[in-house]
Amino acid sequence: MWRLVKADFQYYWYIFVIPCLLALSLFVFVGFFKGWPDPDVDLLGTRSLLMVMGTVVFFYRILREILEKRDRHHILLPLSGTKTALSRLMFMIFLWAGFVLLYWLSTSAVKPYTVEIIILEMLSVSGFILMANALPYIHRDLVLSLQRKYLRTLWLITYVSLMCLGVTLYFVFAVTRSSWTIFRIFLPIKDSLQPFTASVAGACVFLALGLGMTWVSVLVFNRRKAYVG
Amino acid sequence: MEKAFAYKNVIKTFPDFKLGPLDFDLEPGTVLGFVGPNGAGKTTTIQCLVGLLRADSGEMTVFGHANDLKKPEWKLNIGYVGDVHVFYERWTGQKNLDFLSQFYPNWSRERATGLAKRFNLPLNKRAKDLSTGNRVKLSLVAALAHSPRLLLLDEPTSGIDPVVRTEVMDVLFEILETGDRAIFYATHILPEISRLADELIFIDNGQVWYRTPKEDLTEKWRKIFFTLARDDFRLKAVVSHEREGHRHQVICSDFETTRRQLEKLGAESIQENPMSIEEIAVQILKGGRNVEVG
Repeated sequence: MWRLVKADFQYYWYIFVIPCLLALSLFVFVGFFKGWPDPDVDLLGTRSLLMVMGTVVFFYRILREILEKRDRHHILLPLSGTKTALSRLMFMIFLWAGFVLLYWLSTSAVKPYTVEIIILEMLSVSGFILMANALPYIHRDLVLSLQRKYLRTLWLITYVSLMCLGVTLYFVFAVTRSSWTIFRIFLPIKDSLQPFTASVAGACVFLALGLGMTWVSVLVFNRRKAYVG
Repeated sequence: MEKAFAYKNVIKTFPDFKLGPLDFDLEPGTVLGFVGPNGAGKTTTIQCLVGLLRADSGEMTVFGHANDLKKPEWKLNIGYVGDVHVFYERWTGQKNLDFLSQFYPNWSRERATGLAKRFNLPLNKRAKDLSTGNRVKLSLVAALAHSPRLLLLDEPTSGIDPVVRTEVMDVLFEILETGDRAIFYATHILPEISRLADELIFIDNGQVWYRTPKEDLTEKWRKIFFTLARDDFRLKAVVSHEREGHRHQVICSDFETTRRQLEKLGAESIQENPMSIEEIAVQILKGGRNVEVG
């Protein structure tokens, strides 16, 4: 599996390095010159930016995978389906881990927040990222496996609902009191959710959901009817 | 002896196509030509074996191991060239081969380089810049560099020029000299496989109609012309029959049987003409369902 992950990084090094460099510059700039004056704005605003960068990288990579028929390429290798399925998810997990590390270093070196808050918030968001990472793969694999039309329709409705929930959650995580007015409609949800996402229970729930979705994506990949698409 | 591969009651259905049930196998050291028109099910058959498609039912083994995705060791014995050639497109041919070499303990860099030279393949070009023919060549090099015991080739020479095609065939002959290697070669171009194959399987509409040693085809199939006045006769082992007055032309799959019958019937001016593999294949695929062996 690690040979596939290594190949992924060698192949997509530029889409890994560029966002990390951008993130690093951002943290250095904000940390040293701005001094993280408002935790509410900066913590959520920076996280939001990271999520946008992560999303762009993710969809660029998944598009290239589809265009280059990567599943077809990798399934022929003498590797188990589980390893192949997990290797698809590792790039984003490592990219996100890179972001978290930079974020951690930047915030704790310059103006430390409560370590507990940062860890719990980041665990919650990491769970969210794991979910967002696995969902498109689950969708692709299921669409290729479900043969009955009503099952495909049912899944499509579920997928669209989950995507809508994901986008809502994204705005909930990202919105701040200084966001544009239109985005402030998410503030009440954020206010009610934040105690949960920044709690041990919230972090555990989000992380468990993320890991659960990762497991489902492996399961669905192994049960695909075809790897030729 | 362990079979190179075996299909046991394998079925794969699509909304508008059904493959199988397939029941056949391949002995190590032999070449099995898999012949059929476009859309007959050749590619699907091979894709089920290599794991690109999941069969609805049945079992497939490669050198005794089930083609299970969870236990992928069986793939080490396979070299596969399919109808689509997939690579890391922004990497060079060499980089793509280096990537693959990590997964196969038997991979030989020298062998890969040697084959690339023979096929006149530029390994320093990015995959996305390679012509269709060169992509086929790169797939062939990738499939052969780890000296697999079983080669699965799905129309491997489509898109490559005649010179390289001959080179590919020569390489395949060399592979066979080692003895225990097996080749399963799907094609609809008969002259290509007729030089190489020990046996031929004919497939159409997802069904295997006929399996025969290659020699049997050329030795037993004949086009026979004869004169016979009577109409009330039925010949065994006859695939097609045309007549003009009392003059008949039949194509038969066992000319000894047909000739004996004709002699009994009192046919005159019996004339036998040998047939090429290609002519025979066309007859089998046109009327394979009616082949009666006497």
